[in-house]
Amino acid sequence: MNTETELCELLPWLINGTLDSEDMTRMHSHLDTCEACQKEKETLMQFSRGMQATPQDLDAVLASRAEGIQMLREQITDSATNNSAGFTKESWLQKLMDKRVLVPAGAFASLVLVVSLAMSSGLPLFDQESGNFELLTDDLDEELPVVQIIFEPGTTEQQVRDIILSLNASFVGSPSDTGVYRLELPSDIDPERQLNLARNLRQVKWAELER
Amino acid sequence: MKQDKDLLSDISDQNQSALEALYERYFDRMTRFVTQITRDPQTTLEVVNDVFMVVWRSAQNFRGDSTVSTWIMGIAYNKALSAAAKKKSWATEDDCDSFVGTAAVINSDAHDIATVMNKLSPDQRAVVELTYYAGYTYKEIGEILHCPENTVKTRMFNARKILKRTINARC
Repeated sequence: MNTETELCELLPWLINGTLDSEDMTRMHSHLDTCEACQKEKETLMQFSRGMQATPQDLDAVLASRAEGIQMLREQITDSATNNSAGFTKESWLQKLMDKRVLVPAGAFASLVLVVSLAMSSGLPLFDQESGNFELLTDDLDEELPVVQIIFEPGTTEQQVRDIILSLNASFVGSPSDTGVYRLELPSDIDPERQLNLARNLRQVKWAELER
Repeated sequence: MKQDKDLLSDISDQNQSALEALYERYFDRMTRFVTQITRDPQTTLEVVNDVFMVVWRSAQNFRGDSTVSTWIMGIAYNKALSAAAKKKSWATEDDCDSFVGTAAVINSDAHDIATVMNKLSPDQRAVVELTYYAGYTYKEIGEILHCPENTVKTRMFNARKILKRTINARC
Protein backbone atom coordinates (compact mmCIF):
# COMPACT_ATOMS: atom_id res chain seq x y z
CA MET A 1 0.00 0.00 0.00
CA ASN A 2 1.47 3.39 -0.94
CA THR A 3 2.15 6.18 1.50
CA GLU A 4 -0.66 8.39 0.23
CA THR A 5 -3.23 5.67 0.76
CA GLU A 6 -1.85 5.04 4.24
CA LEU A 7 -2.17 8.73 5.01
CA CYS A 8 -5.74 8.87 3.72
CA GLU A 9 -6.61 6.08 6.12
CA LEU A 10 -5.47 8.20 9.05
CA LEU A 11 -7.87 11.08 8.34
CA PRO A 12 -10.40 10.15 11.07
CA TRP A 13 -7.64 10.21 13.66
CA LEU A 14 -6.40 13.56 12.47
CA ILE A 15 -9.92 14.79 13.09
CA ASN A 16 -10.18 13.31 16.57
CA GLY A 17 -6.77 14.79 17.40
CA THR A 18 -4.97 11.58 18.34
CA LEU A 19 -2.32 11.30 15.64
CA ASP A 20 1.26 11.56 16.81
CA SER A 21 3.17 14.66 15.73
CA GLU A 22 4.97 12.91 12.88
CA ASP A 23 1.80 11.53 11.30
CA MET A 24 0.04 14.83 11.86
CA THR A 25 2.76 16.72 10.00
CA ARG A 26 2.63 14.23 7.14
CA MET A 27 -1.15 14.45 7.00
CA HIS A 28 -1.17 18.24 6.85
CA SER A 29 1.42 18.18 4.06
CA HIS A 30 -0.72 15.65 2.19
CA LEU A 31 -3.86 17.72 2.65
CA ASP A 32 -2.11 20.71 1.10
CA THR A 33 -1.97 18.81 -2.18
CA CYS A 34 -4.93 16.40 -2.13
CA GLU A 35 -8.29 17.96 -2.91
CA ALA A 36 -10.18 14.71 -2.40
CA CYS A 37 -8.88 14.38 1.13
CA GLN A 38 -9.59 18.04 1.85
CA LYS A 39 -13.22 17.50 0.85
CA GLU A 40 -13.52 14.33 2.83
CA LYS A 41 -11.95 16.01 5.83
CA GLU A 42 -14.74 18.59 5.82
CA THR A 43 -17.37 15.86 5.57
CA LEU A 44 -15.81 13.88 8.37
CA MET A 45 -15.50 16.96 10.57
CA GLN A 46 -19.23 17.56 10.14
CA PHE A 47 -19.86 13.92 10.89
CA SER A 48 -17.66 14.13 13.96
CA ARG A 49 -19.57 17.16 15.25
CA GLY A 50 -22.81 15.27 14.68
CA MET A 51 -21.50 12.29 16.62
CA GLN A 52 -21.25 14.44 19.75
CA ALA A 53 -25.05 14.65 19.84
CA THR A 54 -26.92 12.24 22.04
CA PRO A 55 -29.10 9.77 20.16
CA GLN A 56 -32.66 10.32 21.26
CA ASP A 57 -33.21 6.83 22.66
CA LEU A 58 -30.17 7.20 24.87
CA ASP A 59 -31.45 10.23 26.78
CA ALA A 60 -33.30 8.03 29.24
CA VAL A 61 -30.41 5.61 29.66
CA LEU A 62 -27.88 8.38 30.22
CA ALA A 63 -30.19 9.89 32.80
CA SER A 64 -30.27 6.61 34.69
CA ARG A 65 -26.72 6.81 35.95
CA ALA A 66 -27.78 6.97 39.61
CA GLU A 67 -30.08 4.01 39.10
CA GLY A 68 -27.21 2.14 37.51
CA ILE A 69 -24.98 2.76 40.51
CA GLN A 70 -27.71 1.59 42.86
CA MET A 71 -28.12 -1.59 40.79
CA LEU A 72 -24.37 -2.11 40.90
CA ARG A 73 -24.36 -1.85 44.68
CA GLU A 74 -27.10 -4.45 44.88
CA GLN A 75 -25.25 -6.74 42.50
CA ILE A 76 -22.11 -6.52 44.61
CA THR A 77 -24.10 -7.26 47.76
CA ASP A 78 -25.84 -10.20 46.09
CA SER A 79 -22.55 -11.49 44.80
CA ALA A 80 -21.04 -11.38 48.28
CA THR A 81 -24.12 -13.10 49.73
CA ASN A 82 -24.02 -15.86 47.13
CA ASN A 83 -20.35 -16.49 47.73
CA SER A 84 -20.83 -16.85 51.46
CA ALA A 85 -24.05 -18.86 51.36
CA GLY A 86 -23.08 -21.19 48.56
CA PHE A 87 -25.10 -21.78 45.45
CA THR A 88 -28.38 -23.54 45.25
CA LYS A 89 -29.02 -25.95 42.45
CA GLU A 90 -31.57 -23.50 41.04
CA SER A 91 -29.13 -20.57 40.90
CA TRP A 92 -26.53 -22.89 39.43
CA LEU A 93 -28.89 -24.00 36.70
CA GLN A 94 -29.96 -20.43 36.03
CA LYS A 95 -26.31 -19.51 35.60
CA LEU A 96 -25.95 -22.33 33.11
CA MET A 97 -28.79 -20.94 31.07
CA ASP A 98 -27.16 -17.52 31.12
CA LYS A 99 -23.82 -18.74 29.90
CA ARG A 100 -22.57 -18.31 26.41
CA VAL A 101 -21.74 -21.94 25.96
CA LEU A 102 -23.78 -23.12 23.02
CA VAL A 103 -25.92 -26.18 23.33
CA PRO A 104 -27.98 -27.98 20.73
CA ALA A 105 -31.66 -27.40 20.86
CA GLY A 106 -33.27 -29.62 23.45
CA ALA A 107 -30.16 -29.96 25.54
CA PHE A 108 -30.73 -28.59 28.98
CA ALA A 109 -27.41 -26.89 29.29
CA SER A 110 -23.85 -27.75 28.80
CA LEU A 111 -21.72 -27.70 31.83
CA VAL A 112 -18.61 -25.74 31.86
CA LEU A 113 -16.15 -27.27 34.12
CA VAL A 114 -13.23 -25.28 35.01
CA VAL A 115 -10.44 -26.67 36.88
CA SER A 116 -8.34 -23.99 38.36
CA LEU A 117 -4.96 -24.51 39.67
CA ALA A 118 -4.73 -21.94 42.33
CA MET A 119 -4.42 -21.92 46.03
CA SER A 120 -0.93 -22.99 47.02
CA SER A 121 0.43 -23.13 43.50
CA GLY A 122 -0.81 -19.63 42.67
CA LEU A 123 -1.36 -20.59 39.05
CA PRO A 124 -3.89 -18.16 37.63
CA LEU A 125 -7.03 -19.05 35.76
CA PHE A 126 -8.00 -17.41 32.53
CA ASP A 127 -11.06 -15.22 32.76
CA GLN A 128 -12.72 -15.16 29.37
CA GLU A 129 -14.64 -11.98 30.06
CA SER A 130 -11.93 -9.71 31.30
CA GLY A 131 -9.06 -11.33 29.45
CA ASN A 132 -7.26 -11.65 32.75
CA PHE A 133 -6.32 -14.48 34.93
CA GLU A 134 -8.20 -14.80 38.17
CA LEU A 135 -7.94 -17.15 41.04
CA LEU A 136 -11.15 -18.96 41.74
CA THR A 137 -10.52 -19.92 45.27
CA ASP A 138 -13.97 -19.72 46.76
CA ASP A 139 -15.53 -22.69 48.52
CA LEU A 140 -12.74 -25.10 47.72
CA ASP A 141 -12.67 -28.47 49.29
CA GLU A 142 -9.13 -28.70 50.43
CA GLU A 143 -9.36 -32.41 51.03
CA LEU A 144 -9.99 -33.47 47.45
CA PRO A 145 -8.34 -32.26 44.26
CA VAL A 146 -10.48 -30.01 42.12
CA VAL A 147 -10.27 -29.39 38.42
CA GLN A 148 -11.70 -26.44 36.53
CA ILE A 149 -12.67 -27.03 32.93
CA ILE A 150 -14.04 -24.97 30.07
CA PHE A 151 -15.90 -26.93 27.44
CA GLU A 152 -15.92 -26.12 23.79
CA PRO A 153 -19.08 -24.41 22.55
CA GLY A 154 -21.57 -26.96 21.30
CA THR A 155 -20.72 -29.58 23.89
CA THR A 156 -23.94 -31.33 24.79
CA GLU A 157 -25.15 -32.17 28.25
CA GLN A 158 -24.76 -35.87 27.55
CA GLN A 159 -21.15 -35.39 26.45
CA VAL A 160 -20.46 -33.48 29.64
CA ARG A 161 -21.99 -36.24 31.75
CA ASP A 162 -19.90 -38.81 29.91
CA ILE A 163 -16.76 -36.80 30.53
CA ILE A 164 -17.53 -36.47 34.23
CA LEU A 165 -18.09 -40.21 34.46
CA SER A 166 -14.87 -40.92 32.59
CA LEU A 167 -12.96 -38.71 35.01
CA ASN A 168 -14.70 -40.24 38.00
CA ALA A 169 -15.49 -36.71 39.06
CA SER A 170 -18.41 -34.78 40.53
CA PHE A 171 -19.46 -31.14 40.36
CA VAL A 172 -18.51 -28.77 43.11
CA GLY A 173 -20.51 -25.67 43.85
CA SER A 174 -21.88 -23.57 41.04
CA PRO A 175 -20.26 -22.03 38.00
CA SER A 176 -18.51 -18.72 38.42
CA ASP A 177 -19.87 -15.64 36.75
CA THR A 178 -17.37 -16.24 33.98
CA GLY A 179 -18.72 -19.73 33.28
CA VAL A 180 -16.05 -21.67 35.11
CA TYR A 181 -17.09 -24.89 36.83
CA ARG A 182 -15.29 -27.14 39.26
CA LEU A 183 -15.03 -30.91 39.28
CA GLU A 184 -13.98 -32.73 42.38
CA LEU A 185 -11.75 -35.70 41.74
CA PRO A 186 -11.54 -38.81 43.91
CA SER A 187 -8.61 -38.96 46.28
CA ASP A 188 -7.36 -42.35 45.10
CA ILE A 189 -6.61 -41.23 41.53
CA ASP A 190 -3.65 -39.18 40.42
CA PRO A 191 -5.14 -35.72 39.67
CA GLU A 192 -2.43 -34.93 37.11
CA ARG A 193 -3.44 -38.03 35.21
CA GLN A 194 -7.10 -36.96 35.28
CA LEU A 195 -6.10 -33.48 34.16
CA ASN A 196 -4.22 -34.89 31.19
CA LEU A 197 -7.18 -37.10 30.35
CA ALA A 198 -9.45 -34.08 30.39
CA ARG A 199 -7.13 -32.01 28.24
CA ASN A 200 -7.01 -34.71 25.60
CA LEU A 201 -10.76 -34.67 25.18
CA ARG A 202 -12.03 -32.88 22.11
CA GLN A 203 -14.81 -31.19 24.05
CA VAL A 204 -12.47 -29.69 26.62
CA LYS A 205 -11.20 -26.27 25.68
CA TRP A 206 -9.13 -25.65 28.79
CA ALA A 207 -8.46 -27.37 32.07
CA GLU A 208 -6.34 -26.73 35.13
CA LEU A 209 -5.97 -28.27 38.54
CA GLU A 210 -6.84 -26.52 41.72
CA ARG A 211 -5.62 -27.79 45.06
CA MET B 1 -8.69 13.50 40.50
CA LYS B 2 -7.38 9.97 40.74
CA GLN B 3 -6.08 8.28 37.64
CA ASP B 4 -7.79 5.16 36.30
CA LYS B 5 -4.96 2.90 37.41
CA ASP B 6 -5.12 4.24 40.95
CA LEU B 7 -8.86 3.72 41.07
CA LEU B 8 -8.37 0.19 39.80
CA SER B 9 -5.79 -0.44 42.47
CA ASP B 10 -8.32 0.72 45.08
CA ILE B 11 -10.99 -1.48 43.49
CA SER B 12 -8.67 -4.46 43.82
CA ASP B 13 -8.70 -3.70 47.57
CA GLN B 14 -12.50 -3.99 47.40
CA ASN B 15 -13.04 -0.24 47.59
CA GLN B 16 -16.57 0.18 46.32
CA SER B 17 -16.33 3.98 46.17
CA ALA B 18 -13.48 3.62 43.72
CA LEU B 19 -15.63 1.34 41.55
CA GLU B 20 -18.43 3.87 41.58
CA ALA B 21 -16.01 6.65 40.68
CA LEU B 22 -14.80 4.62 37.70
CA TYR B 23 -18.41 3.88 36.78
CA GLU B 24 -19.22 7.60 36.74
CA ARG B 25 -16.17 8.29 34.63
CA TYR B 26 -16.97 5.70 31.97
CA PHE B 27 -20.75 5.68 32.05
CA ASP B 28 -21.44 8.04 29.14
CA ARG B 29 -18.96 6.68 26.65
CA MET B 30 -19.63 3.07 27.57
CA THR B 31 -23.39 3.54 27.36
CA ARG B 32 -23.14 4.99 23.89
CA PHE B 33 -20.61 2.39 22.77
CA VAL B 34 -22.65 -0.54 24.02
CA THR B 35 -25.81 0.81 22.44
CA GLN B 36 -24.08 1.29 19.11
CA ILE B 37 -23.30 -2.42 19.10
CA THR B 38 -26.49 -3.84 20.56
CA ARG B 39 -28.88 -1.25 19.06
CA ASP B 40 -31.01 -1.95 22.09
CA PRO B 41 -30.95 0.86 24.68
CA GLN B 42 -33.09 -1.19 27.03
CA THR B 43 -30.34 -3.69 27.67
CA THR B 44 -27.55 -1.13 27.82
CA LEU B 45 -27.70 -0.49 31.57
CA GLU B 46 -27.62 -4.21 32.27
CA VAL B 47 -24.62 -4.69 30.01
CA VAL B 48 -22.76 -1.72 31.51
CA ASN B 49 -23.36 -3.05 35.00
CA ASP B 50 -22.18 -6.51 33.97
CA VAL B 51 -18.97 -4.90 32.75
CA PHE B 52 -18.37 -3.24 36.08
CA MET B 53 -19.08 -6.44 37.96
CA VAL B 54 -16.28 -8.02 35.93
CA VAL B 55 -14.06 -5.05 36.80
CA TRP B 56 -14.98 -5.54 40.47
CA ARG B 57 -14.07 -9.21 40.39
CA SER B 58 -11.01 -8.95 38.15
CA ALA B 59 -9.33 -5.70 39.20
CA GLN B 60 -6.65 -7.46 41.21
CA ASN B 61 -5.65 -9.47 38.15
CA PHE B 62 -5.31 -6.60 35.72
CA ARG B 63 -1.94 -7.16 34.15
CA GLY B 64 -1.25 -3.63 32.89
CA ASP B 65 -0.54 -4.85 29.34
CA SER B 66 -2.99 -2.24 28.14
CA THR B 67 -4.41 0.91 29.68
CA VAL B 68 -7.27 0.60 32.14
CA SER B 69 -9.42 2.41 29.61
CA THR B 70 -8.88 -0.02 26.76
CA TRP B 71 -9.22 -2.95 29.16
CA ILE B 72 -12.59 -1.80 30.45
CA MET B 73 -13.90 -0.88 27.02
CA GLY B 74 -12.65 -4.23 25.71
CA ILE B 75 -14.78 -5.99 28.32
CA ALA B 76 -17.69 -3.78 27.29
CA TYR B 77 -17.19 -4.79 23.67
CA ASN B 78 -17.30 -8.49 24.53
CA LYS B 79 -20.36 -8.06 26.72
CA ALA B 80 -22.14 -5.98 24.10
CA LEU B 81 -21.48 -8.56 21.39
CA SER B 82 -22.85 -11.29 23.65
CA ALA B 83 -25.95 -9.25 24.42
CA ALA B 84 -26.47 -8.47 20.75
CA ALA B 85 -26.07 -12.12 19.79
CA LYS B 86 -28.71 -13.11 22.34
CA LYS B 87 -31.20 -10.57 21.15
CA LYS B 88 -30.22 -10.45 17.47
CA SER B 89 -31.64 -6.96 17.52
CA TRP B 90 -30.01 -5.18 14.62
CA ALA B 91 -31.71 -1.93 13.79
CA THR B 92 -33.07 -1.56 10.30
CA GLU B 93 -33.07 1.48 8.16
CA ASP B 94 -36.66 2.15 9.28
CA ASP B 95 -35.43 2.57 12.83
CA CYS B 96 -33.01 5.33 11.96
CA ASP B 97 -35.31 8.10 13.18
CA SER B 98 -35.02 6.86 16.73
CA PHE B 99 -31.32 7.56 16.64
CA VAL B 100 -31.60 11.16 15.54
CA GLY B 101 -29.70 13.39 17.90
CA THR B 102 -31.33 16.15 19.87
CA ALA B 103 -28.32 18.24 20.77
CA ALA B 104 -27.28 21.43 19.04
CA VAL B 105 -26.63 19.76 15.71
CA ILE B 106 -27.96 20.59 12.29
CA ASN B 107 -30.90 18.22 11.89
CA SER B 108 -29.89 17.00 8.49
CA ASP B 109 -26.47 16.02 9.82
CA ALA B 110 -28.03 14.14 12.68
CA HIS B 111 -30.28 12.28 10.28
CA ASP B 112 -27.32 11.44 8.07
CA ILE B 113 -25.44 10.15 11.10
CA ALA B 114 -28.31 7.95 12.14
CA THR B 115 -28.76 6.71 8.59
CA VAL B 116 -25.08 5.98 8.18
CA MET B 117 -24.71 4.26 11.52
CA ASN B 118 -27.63 1.99 10.76
CA LYS B 119 -25.98 0.87 7.55
CA LEU B 120 -22.76 -0.11 9.29
CA SER B 121 -21.89 -3.47 10.76
CA PRO B 122 -21.45 -3.66 14.55
CA ASP B 123 -17.68 -3.73 14.13
CA GLN B 124 -17.75 -0.65 11.93
CA ARG B 125 -20.05 1.17 14.35
CA ALA B 126 -17.70 0.26 17.16
CA VAL B 127 -14.72 1.80 15.34
CA VAL B 128 -16.66 4.93 14.42
CA GLU B 129 -17.98 5.44 17.95
CA LEU B 130 -14.60 4.85 19.56
CA THR B 131 -12.95 7.29 17.15
CA TYR B 132 -15.35 10.20 16.90
CA TYR B 133 -17.06 10.19 20.28
CA ALA B 134 -14.70 8.41 22.64
CA GLY B 135 -11.58 9.83 20.97
CA TYR B 136 -9.31 6.77 21.02
CA THR B 137 -6.26 6.30 18.83
CA TYR B 138 -6.43 3.55 16.21
CA LYS B 139 -3.93 1.57 18.27
CA GLU B 140 -6.18 1.77 21.35
CA ILE B 141 -9.19 0.79 19.27
CA GLY B 142 -7.30 -2.29 18.13
CA GLU B 143 -6.73 -3.20 21.79
CA ILE B 144 -10.38 -2.68 22.65
CA LEU B 145 -11.69 -4.68 19.71
CA HIS B 146 -8.93 -7.30 19.97
CA CYS B 147 -7.89 -6.81 16.34
CA PRO B 148 -4.82 -5.55 14.46
CA GLU B 149 -4.48 -1.84 13.74
CA ASN B 150 -4.86 -2.45 10.03
CA THR B 151 -8.21 -4.09 10.65
CA VAL B 152 -9.31 -0.98 12.55
CA LYS B 153 -8.29 1.19 9.62
CA THR B 154 -10.04 -1.12 7.14
CA ARG B 155 -13.28 -1.05 9.11
CA MET B 156 -13.11 2.72 9.29
CA PHE B 157 -12.29 2.95 5.60
CA ASN B 158 -15.37 0.89 4.73
CA ALA B 159 -17.50 2.98 7.08
CA ARG B 160 -16.29 6.11 5.33
CA LYS B 161 -17.31 4.67 1.97
CA ILE B 162 -20.82 4.13 3.31
CA LEU B 163 -20.87 7.66 4.68
CA LYS B 164 -19.90 9.07 1.31
CA ARG B 165 -22.53 6.98 -0.48
CA THR B 166 -25.19 8.12 1.98
CA ILE B 167 -24.32 11.80 1.67
CA ASN B 168 -24.19 11.54 -2.13
CA ALA B 169 -27.53 9.75 -2.24
CA ARG B 170 -29.08 12.50 -0.15
CA CYS B 171 -27.81 15.13 -2.52
